[in-house]
Amino acid sequence: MIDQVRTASGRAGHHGAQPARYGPGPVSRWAILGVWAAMAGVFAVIEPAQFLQVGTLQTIFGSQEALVFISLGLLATLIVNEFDLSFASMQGLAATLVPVLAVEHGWNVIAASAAAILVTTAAGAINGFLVVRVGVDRIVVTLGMANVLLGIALALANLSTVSGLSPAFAAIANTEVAGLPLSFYYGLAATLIFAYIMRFTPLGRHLAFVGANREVARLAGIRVNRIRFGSYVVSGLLSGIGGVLLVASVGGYDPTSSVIYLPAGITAAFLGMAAVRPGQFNPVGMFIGVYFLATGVLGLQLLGYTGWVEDVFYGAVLIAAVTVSALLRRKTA
Amino acid sequence: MTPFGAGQQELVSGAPDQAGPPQPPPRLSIERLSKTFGSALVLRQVSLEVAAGEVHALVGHNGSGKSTLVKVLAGAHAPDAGGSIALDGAALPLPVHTRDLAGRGISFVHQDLGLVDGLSVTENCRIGRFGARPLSRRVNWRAEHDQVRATLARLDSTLDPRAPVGSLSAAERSTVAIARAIGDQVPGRGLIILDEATRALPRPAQEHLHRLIGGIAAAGGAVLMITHRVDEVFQLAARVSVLRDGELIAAGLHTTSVDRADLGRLLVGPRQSGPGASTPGPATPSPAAEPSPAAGPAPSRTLPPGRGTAPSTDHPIGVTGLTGRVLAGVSFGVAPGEVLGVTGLLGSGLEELPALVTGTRRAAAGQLTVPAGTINLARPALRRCLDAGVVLVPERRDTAGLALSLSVRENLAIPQLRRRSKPWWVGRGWAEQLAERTTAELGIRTAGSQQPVGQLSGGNRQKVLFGKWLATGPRLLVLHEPTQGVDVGARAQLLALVRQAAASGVAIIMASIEAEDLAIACDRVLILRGGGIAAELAGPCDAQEIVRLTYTDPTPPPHDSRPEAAR
Repeated sequence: MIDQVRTASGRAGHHGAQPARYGPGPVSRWAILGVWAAMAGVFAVIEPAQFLQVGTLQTIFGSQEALVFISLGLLATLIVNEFDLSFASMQGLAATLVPVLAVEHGWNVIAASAAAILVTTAAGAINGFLVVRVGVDRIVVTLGMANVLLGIALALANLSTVSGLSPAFAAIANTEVAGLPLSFYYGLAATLIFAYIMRFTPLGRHLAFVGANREVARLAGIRVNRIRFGSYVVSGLLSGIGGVLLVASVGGYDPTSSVIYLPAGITAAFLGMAAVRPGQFNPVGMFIGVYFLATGVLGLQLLGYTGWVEDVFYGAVLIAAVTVSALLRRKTA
Repeated sequence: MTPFGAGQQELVSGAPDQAGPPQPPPRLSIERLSKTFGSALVLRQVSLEVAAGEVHALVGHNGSGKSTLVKVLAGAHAPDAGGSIALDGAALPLPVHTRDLAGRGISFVHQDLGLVDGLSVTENCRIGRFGARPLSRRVNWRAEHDQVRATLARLDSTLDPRAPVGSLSAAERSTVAIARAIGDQVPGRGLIILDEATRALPRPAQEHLHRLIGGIAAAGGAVLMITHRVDEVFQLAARVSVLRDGELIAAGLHTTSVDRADLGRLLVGPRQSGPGASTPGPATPSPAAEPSPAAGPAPSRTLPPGRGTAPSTDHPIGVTGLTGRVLAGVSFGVAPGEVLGVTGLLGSGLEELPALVTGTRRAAAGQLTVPAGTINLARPALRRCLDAGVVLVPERRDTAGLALSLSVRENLAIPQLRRRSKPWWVGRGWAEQLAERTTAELGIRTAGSQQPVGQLSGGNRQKVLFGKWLATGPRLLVLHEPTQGVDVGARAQLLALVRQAAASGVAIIMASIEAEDLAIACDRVLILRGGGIAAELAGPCDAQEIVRLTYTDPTPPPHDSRPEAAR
C-alpha cells in the first residue's frame, strides 16, 4: 500500500497528468471490511444479547487457525494456476494420525505431529508428481487423493472420534495471549510470511509469473515445473500443520468432520480475491475471508440456524465472491 | 507492364459498369466494407466483385486484412456500418450470420482443408447438417452416404464415404474438402471461399485441388481464393485483387494483363518500385510512420562498415547442423553488430528456427557456438542459453511473450529478477529504474510502470517485450516476427530499435515473413525452403528480391512420395 502511494506521487511529479492507480481503488480493495462490519452490525441488532459479547469475538478469532493454514495451502497452488482439492482430507488425516499415534501407539506427541505433517507433505508430493511429471488432470488427481486420504483417516479412527491427547499438548495451541489463543498468532504469522514472500522476494514474483503465464515464465528461465510441484508439496505441508493445530486445540478429532473444511477453504481463498489485491489470489485477503466466514457462520448459528447453515453460507459466499472478483477483473481489464 | 509506384491511381476495376441492364449481377459483390478494431482500421472501404464462373484470387501479405475480410464473410466479425455484401444481387443481412451462409450457397474451405482425421468422409462432409429419421431421431446413415457419394460423383471421385479421412492421400483429402464445400450447392451456383486452403498441401495434391476448382468454375460456380502464393494466382485465377494495409490496391485485374513482377510490386508497396532493384533502398521507412522522438533516428539503410558477408565459419556466433521437425542440418553464422534475416514460407522450417536456436525447444540435433562456449541444442539448453546471453523474443506475444495481467515493471524485470535481487528481497529501485530507462529509450507509451501490460496497444506491448530482453544485455538476440500485430508507426520504430541494438554490438537473428521489414533491418537474409537454406541475399537487401526468392520456386519441391490416386 504505502509503496504504491509513494510511486504514485513520484509519477505524478514526473508526468503530471495521469492519476497513478491501476486496478480497483481503495474502496473496492477494502470493501470486504465494510461488508464484514455491516454483517456484524445486522447480527448485533437482531441478537444483541448473544452476539455483543467478548466471548463472541474470542470464538470467531480463536477457532479458525486450521482453516487459515489449509486455505494458505490451497492458495499456494491457486497462485501458480494449479488446484489442490485434497487439502481438507490431508488436514483430516494429520488430525487423526496425531491422537492415533500418540494415544493408541504411545508415541511422543511431538514425534506423532512430525510424522503426521510428513505424511501429508508426502501426499502433496504424490499429487505434484502425478500432475506435473505425469501430466494427469489436477482436479482428478487431487479429488482422488482426497477420497483416499479421507478413507485412510476413517480406517485409522475406526469410524469414530479419536481423543485423549494430553492438556500439555493443547497448550501449544490454546495458551492465551492478549485474549486470543496462540494458534491465532500462528495463522497470522504464516499469512504474513506468505504475503511477504509473494510481494517482496524473487520467489514470490516467479510464482506470480508462473500463475499469470506459464510459457512466459519458462522462457524467462524460471523452473516452472519445479515451482508447480513445490506448490503441491507446500499445500500438503500447510494442511498437515493445520491438522496438528486443530487436534491440539480440540484434543481429539472425528475424521468425518473433514468434509466441511473443503468448501470453507475454497470459499476463503476465493473470497480473498475480492479484497486487498482484487482479482488476484492473495494471503491477506484470504486471512480476512476466513474470519469473515467465521463471523457469518457464528452469527447465523446464534440466530438459531444450525447444522445446514454452514453449507449454504459457504456456498453462497463462494458464488458471490467469484462473481464479484470476475466483475472487478472485467472492469480493470 | 505498368508502373504501380503511384499507388492509389492504379485502382483498377474489372467489374462491369452498373449501367448495363442486361448484365447479370455478380455472384458476390462487396461494397465499401470497412472494419475497425478499436482505433485500428483493418479494412478500408473494400469493394470487390466475383463473377459467376470465375476463380478470383485475393492476395496480400500478412496483416493486409485478408483474414479479417474472410472472417467478416464467415460471420466471425461484424463489419462497420455502411458496407454491404450481396449475393446474386440480393443483399446479405449484416453482420453475416453463419446460418445464412449455407442457405445462400456460400461455403468455406479453411486453412489446411479443415478436416477431422478420425471421422469418416461422410461425417466430415455432413457434420452440422445430418438428416435424422423422423421418429427415432437417428442419423439416416444410408441416405447420408448416398448423398455424399453423389456429391463425390460430381467431382468424378469414387471414394468410399465410410473411409476415415485419416486413411486418405493428400489429393483425396482435398477432394473431400471440396465435396464438403459443394455439398449444399446447386451445380453452377454458389460461391466457394478458399482461405489459404493449399498452404500445406504437397504439390500433386495442390494440382489436383486446382483441377477440381477449375472444374467448379467451368460449371458456373464462383470461387474466391485467398492465397499468398503468387504461382497459384497465375495457374488458376482469371482475375486477381490485391489487399495491402487494409486497402484494396487493385480490384479484379485480369491475370493475363499482369505478370509476377507487377503483382510483387502491388503486394510489397510503392516504395520498392522502380525497375532498378539495386538502388540503395528506401529513403524513409514509411511515409505514414509517425515521428518517433524517443526511438532515435529512423531506420538507416546505411550499414556499419565491415558488416559481415564472410563465410559462416568466421562468425563468432554460429549454429551448426541444426535439425528439428522440418529443419535438416542447417548451419549459419552471425556476427556481433549484424542483423541476419531469416525468411521462408510455411513449412520451410522458419517457424521452428527461433525456438530451436535459443534452446526454448529441444532440437533433434545441432550446436550453438557463442563466445562463452558451445551449447548442445539437442539437450535441454534453455538456461544455458540464457546464461550465455542467447535470448528469444517469441512470436506469440500475448501468450508466450508477456504476462498481460502483470505490470510493465514486473514484465520488464522478470528475466533479471534472479540475478539482480537477493533471495529474500527483490528490492524496488533497480526494477523501477529499469522500467523508467526502458520505457524512455524505447518510446513505450505507458501511464506508468505499474500499468498492466494488457492495457497497452499492440505496438507498445511489442516494445515492452523487446525491451525486456534487450535490457538483459544479450549477445545473441533472436527475434521471431518482431513486428506482427503492430501498426505502421510502431513498426518503423521497432525496426529502428533493431538497428540500434545491432549498432551497440548485439548479434541479431530476425526470423520474419515480412519482406519489407527484412529489407529495412537486415544486413543479410537467408531464405529457407524445405528445411534447408535455399538462398542467401547479402548486401543491401531488396524486398522485391526477397519476395521473389521466397515465393517462387526455382527448383520444384520433392513430390509427395505416396502414389496419388487422383480421381
